[in-house]
Amino acid sequence: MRKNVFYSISLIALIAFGFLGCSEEENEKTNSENLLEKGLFVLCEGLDGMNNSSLNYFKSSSNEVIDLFNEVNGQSLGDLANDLIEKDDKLFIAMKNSACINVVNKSNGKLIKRIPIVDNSGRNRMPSRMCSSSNKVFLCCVDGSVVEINAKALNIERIALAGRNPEAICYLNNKLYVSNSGGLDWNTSIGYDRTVSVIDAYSMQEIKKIDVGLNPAFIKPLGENKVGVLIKGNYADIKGKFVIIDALTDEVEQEEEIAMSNFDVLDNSIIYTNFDWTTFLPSIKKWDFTSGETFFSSSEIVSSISSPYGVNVSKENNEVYITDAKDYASSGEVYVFDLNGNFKYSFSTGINPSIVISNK
Amino acid sequence: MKTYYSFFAILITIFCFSSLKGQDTIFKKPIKLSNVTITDKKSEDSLFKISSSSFLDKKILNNVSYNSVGEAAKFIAGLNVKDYGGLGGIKTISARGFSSLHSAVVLDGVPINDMQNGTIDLGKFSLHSAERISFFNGASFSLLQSARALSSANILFIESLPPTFENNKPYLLNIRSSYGSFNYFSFGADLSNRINNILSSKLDINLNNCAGNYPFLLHYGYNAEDSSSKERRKNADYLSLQASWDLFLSFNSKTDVKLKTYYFYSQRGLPKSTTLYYLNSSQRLWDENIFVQGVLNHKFNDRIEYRSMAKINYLSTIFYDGFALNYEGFQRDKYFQREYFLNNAFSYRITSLAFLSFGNDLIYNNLNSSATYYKTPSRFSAISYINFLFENSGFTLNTNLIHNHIEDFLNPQTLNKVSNRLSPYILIGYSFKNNFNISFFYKDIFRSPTFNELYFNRVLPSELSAEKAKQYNLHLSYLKYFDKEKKNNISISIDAYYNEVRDKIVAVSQKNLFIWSIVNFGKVDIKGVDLQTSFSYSLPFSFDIFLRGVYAFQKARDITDKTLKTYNNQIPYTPINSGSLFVLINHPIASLSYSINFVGKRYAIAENIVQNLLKPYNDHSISIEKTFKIKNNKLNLSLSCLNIFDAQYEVVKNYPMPQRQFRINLKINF
Repeated sequence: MRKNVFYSISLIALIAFGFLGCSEEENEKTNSENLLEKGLFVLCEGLDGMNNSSLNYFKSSSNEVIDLFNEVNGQSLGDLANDLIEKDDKLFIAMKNSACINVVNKSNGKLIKRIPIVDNSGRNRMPSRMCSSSNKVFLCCVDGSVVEINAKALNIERIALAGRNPEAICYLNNKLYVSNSGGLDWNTSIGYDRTVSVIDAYSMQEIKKIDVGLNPAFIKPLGENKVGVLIKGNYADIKGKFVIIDALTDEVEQEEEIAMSNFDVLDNSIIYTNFDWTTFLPSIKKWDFTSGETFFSSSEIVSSISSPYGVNVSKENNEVYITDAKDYASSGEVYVFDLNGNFKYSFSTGINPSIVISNK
Repeated sequence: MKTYYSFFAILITIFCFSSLKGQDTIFKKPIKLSNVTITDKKSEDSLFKISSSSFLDKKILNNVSYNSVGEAAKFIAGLNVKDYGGLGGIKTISARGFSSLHSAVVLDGVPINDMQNGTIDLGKFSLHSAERISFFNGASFSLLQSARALSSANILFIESLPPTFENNKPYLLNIRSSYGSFNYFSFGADLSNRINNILSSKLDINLNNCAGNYPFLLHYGYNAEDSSSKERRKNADYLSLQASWDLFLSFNSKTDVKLKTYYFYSQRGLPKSTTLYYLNSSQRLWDENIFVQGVLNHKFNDRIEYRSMAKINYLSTIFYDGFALNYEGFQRDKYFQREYFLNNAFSYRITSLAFLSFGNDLIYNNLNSSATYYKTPSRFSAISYINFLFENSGFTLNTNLIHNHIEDFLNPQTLNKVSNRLSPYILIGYSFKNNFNISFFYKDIFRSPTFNELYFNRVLPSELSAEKAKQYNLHLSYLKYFDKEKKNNISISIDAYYNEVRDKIVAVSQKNLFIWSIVNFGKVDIKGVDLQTSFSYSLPFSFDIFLRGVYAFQKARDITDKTLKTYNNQIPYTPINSGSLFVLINHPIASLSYSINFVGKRYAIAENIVQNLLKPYNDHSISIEKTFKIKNNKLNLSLSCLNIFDAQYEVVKNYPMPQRQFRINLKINF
């Protein structure tokens, strides 16, 4: 009987301490080089609330991908990276939930400054997308503001007001074009917005609102006097389209009913992606604004892209980068094509890769 | 809509019937409070032997320093408690790799439903009011029970403390109060009152309040040596009031009725996930819940027993964000749910060893919502079961078949979908000399999509079908008493199981991150082992020792799609290893309890990479308790320290849990 008791105590103790002993090995920290070799910066948005946005770096010589910002700075970018642009020798990363812009040294990935993007009462303006002029960086925020940042001193100078929930911004001929999505009222009686705000970059005053169509999103300059806007519609009965604004008159010059999810500009045409929800097939196409669209790439690899997300053209490298967000919750992939649409190579990245910028 | 009214009429009739009966029959017999328990005639021991179950009784509930059922559930093998941290952090359970929507929660016999999002916040239920918490994988043996509860993969039963009386006094008043770290304050009182030989009642009130502004360590990177800072949780205040009034009517040994009126109110700040570089939150949540439930038991004769349960439930939730970037500048979503529930069940004793029972639930649920595309969805469910139990000294056979009939309405006029489904269950067990027991069960079950899954953010109603789950379980147990009084004993049980989930309801993004659709897509295979052991022994010098150890191993693999990076990965928030240890040393002078909760590594997102990793943790707590006698009254004082070693851990990614906390608890009874 005593033996029984002793035995049972030891059994319980064994179970208890068995699991207490469990521990996890720390992952190895790779040493980062001081200067980055030739390669690609990839911004990965991460997931809302997970603090897992990352700036990846693809090293061209070794085909290795590193979690650059994390490794160099010992901290994460933050929550929901929404945009990445390069300006001079710096990278600017807009963080939607973390309410800041991370300014990063392009040559080594080190954080230079974190600029908080909050209003007078300290609340998050929700940084959305950026563009730059010769000496300024402009950021549009979900709260409707357009923030002017001195690209050298890295301080906020002036704030202009655009429309409801700006989605994207571009700079052309001393003017800022801001697409107002109104997305946060998608399910209220107010609904989506349908305008592009034109802001004079000298005075930081809105000079015009152009009606472009329901739920405008990505906006980019097309050559010297035109601005292209991707209109998303309401994802149901109102279809998306592509609108071209004449930047001299600031009026809509052309609109074409093309379903697209993202685009970038290549010379006198655009390269855009789409995912067809009836055939479940992705496509990458090219359009020169006059004749019909053509397939940019006939490569079989296109059909393996499950969720085309970002489109980036690099004239430096003569390459086109298409990012694949997969299921929007696990590691993404970047597909690299030449300007003629021939597939070159691909590599794996963090969650939701969106923007690719070449380095050297 | 006709079903709705006729259903309501039946419900009212039942209530009238039971109250009329109360006035007619007055028997002068000593009061016998047959508390409505799920386990019916079966003792805990005999349940333990053959079913895959776990019990937390007063021995544990009285001695842990926790406050809610949600926290105490951490001591049940194979049960994962998702905890958003602090008093106001929502606490939900899930078991054996199933989602929490496969778990039924039953309070005093009647299931608690939430058709909108399906999960029940167990932080709402005070531990002080609970007599016992029991958990069953598969099914419980009860002949008379709710068909809705029976048609779940697993069931958590919460049984309230019945009225208690001491020294033949007709009333007993207990008052309790706790104070603790981060402005934690709780006050509770319950009054048991014996009105006459038939009627007794219990009024129970619990008030909880907490600032919730606990400190935590915020990590900025994934590595231990990465930067970190000491922060405080903001906007995490919590205030709740829970009141229940139980009425027990025991007419004779054949008929009894229990009525429960329950009210719950809470308001809390939602601190949100810890967003790096920006920790503000302005979101708030108000919950209000009121229900009345009645349970009527009647024994017609030695062979036939009848039970009826009815419930009317109102649940309102208001979400408010005073700082939103929409046109209005704020967001206010209001949800209001109603439920009408009626259960009728009969059992029939065929022979002294064989029983047959039938049961039926009629449930009507609807929702008024400002945030979903369909503002007034509703559901009518008719769930029936037939149950057979055979039991002799060695052999046990329990089998049932459940039929689910569900009608979903987009609005009161438009029928969306009707579904019918049959679910079988079988258990075969054998006891060798009453010490060693072996049993096997198989259950084929499903869960219906919730209103949120069907209608939230959707222009077109979803084509969702039910999520199917199959369970195979082998149970071995050994129970040994060292003495006649059964005071000194040891029990060990091992469960090995295999579960599969098909047509798992998952959110899949379409077009962009903004538009998610809910589809039947996932497949999960789960293999696991649960180990439970408990040991009670009286030691010399009036020491009593009680030990309880629990360990769970579960491999829950996502086998949805071979081409995905998540293939064969452990599903999110499911630790491979977890367990707990509870030690209680009782002595007339004082009693001491110590508990350890261990949860191994988990992943917050489907892909098993280091960025998604949640680190393992151990949470140790200690509590010392002493009872003083002052005249005829008892004063009970306890001191506890939670998370003694100041472990900084997260159960849900970016929702840090409190570090070390102290509490002082006072209880007085009159």
